[in-house]
Formats: sequence, C-alpha cells, structure tokens
Amino acid sequence: MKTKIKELRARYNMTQDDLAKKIGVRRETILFIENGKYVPSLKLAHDIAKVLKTPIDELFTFEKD
Amino acid sequence: MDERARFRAFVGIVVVVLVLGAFFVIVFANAGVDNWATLMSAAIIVSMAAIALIVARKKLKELKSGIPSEDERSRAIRMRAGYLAFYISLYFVFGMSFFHAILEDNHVSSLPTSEWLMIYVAAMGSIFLVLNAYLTRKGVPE
Repeated sequence: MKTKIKELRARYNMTQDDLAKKIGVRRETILFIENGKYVPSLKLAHDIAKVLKTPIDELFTFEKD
Repeated sequence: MDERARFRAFVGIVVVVLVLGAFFVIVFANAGVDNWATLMSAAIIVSMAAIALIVARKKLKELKSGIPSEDERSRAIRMRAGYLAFYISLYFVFGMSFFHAILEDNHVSSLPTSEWLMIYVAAMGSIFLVLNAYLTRKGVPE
C-alpha cells in the first residue's frame, strides 16, 4: 500500500502529531500508515481523507492497482 | 468508554490487584510460610507496583496531552498478539507436560504441579508481551 498522506501533510503544513490529534489516533498509527505497514480501516481512511480534503482513492493506492 | 473512565478503571484494577497481593503476602508471613516464598511474593508485588506506577505516569501524561491510550492499530496489535500467544502457549504447555511426564517416568524429582502451573502462566504472559512488543515495532501483517 502507498499513500500520499506525507505529501498532503506537507502541503497543509501539518505534523504527524497534528493529524493524529485531529482524527483521534496515536502518532505511531499515522507513521505506520505512511510507511505502508498498517492498512487503516475504512472509517480511519475516511477520517484522514476528510482532514486532508482528498478523496480516499487518491490518498491510498494498492500494489495490484 | 472515554479516556478518563478507562484511566480510572486501570487505576482501580491495579489498586485492587496490589491490595490483594499485599494482603496475601501478609497472610503468608503471619502463617509462617517459609521466608523465601514470602520474600519472592513481596518482590513480585513491589515490581508490579513499580511497573504500574511507570505505566500510570505515561498514561496520565498522554491523557493530559489529548493522545488516546489506544486506537484501532493498538487494538489490532493486541488482538493479534493474544491470538498468536494463545496458540504458542498451547504448544508450550503440551511440550512442558511431555517433558514433565518424561521426568516422572525416569523418577527424576520435578517441581510440584502448582509451580509448573505458575511457570505456564508466566510463560503465556511473557509470550504475549514479547509478541505485543514485536508487532508494535514491525506492524500487523495484512
């Protein structure tokens, strides 16, 4: 899994901690998602997409895609 | 359950466990249970209290800064670690029982059953803690 979270965070000048606090998760969870080591639930993916104002399918891409 | 209620529940459970532990240590000491067992029990209670204090301090700090004590990833890790620890423990218990049976067949003096049971429980807990730490570092496989 690849994500654009890091790029979008940089665009909005947001740290991992800021994003984590906005969606109510731990900072490590954002780190693991960014590194493709954790696949978030649909709810969490939706929350991240909402905060970063980007559609989910643009935010996450999977190897098979 | 919100974060504050979860923290209060954690403190409550820790206090109950420590008070019960201390109570049993006092009962052992008064009943004349050998010094070694009483000392070991007291050492376990003191270690548990020290660990609980460190964890509570960390949790309180996180609570104040608005970081949730757990989220979907930590829950997933705990569930995965518990599931794996359960299966590994089954093999461990089976292996140890086999080892115990061999010792008995050969008339080699072995530990009493109650102590074997304590070893099983300690092993199960340790396997869970090791797996939890490993998965926290490496991530949960999809």
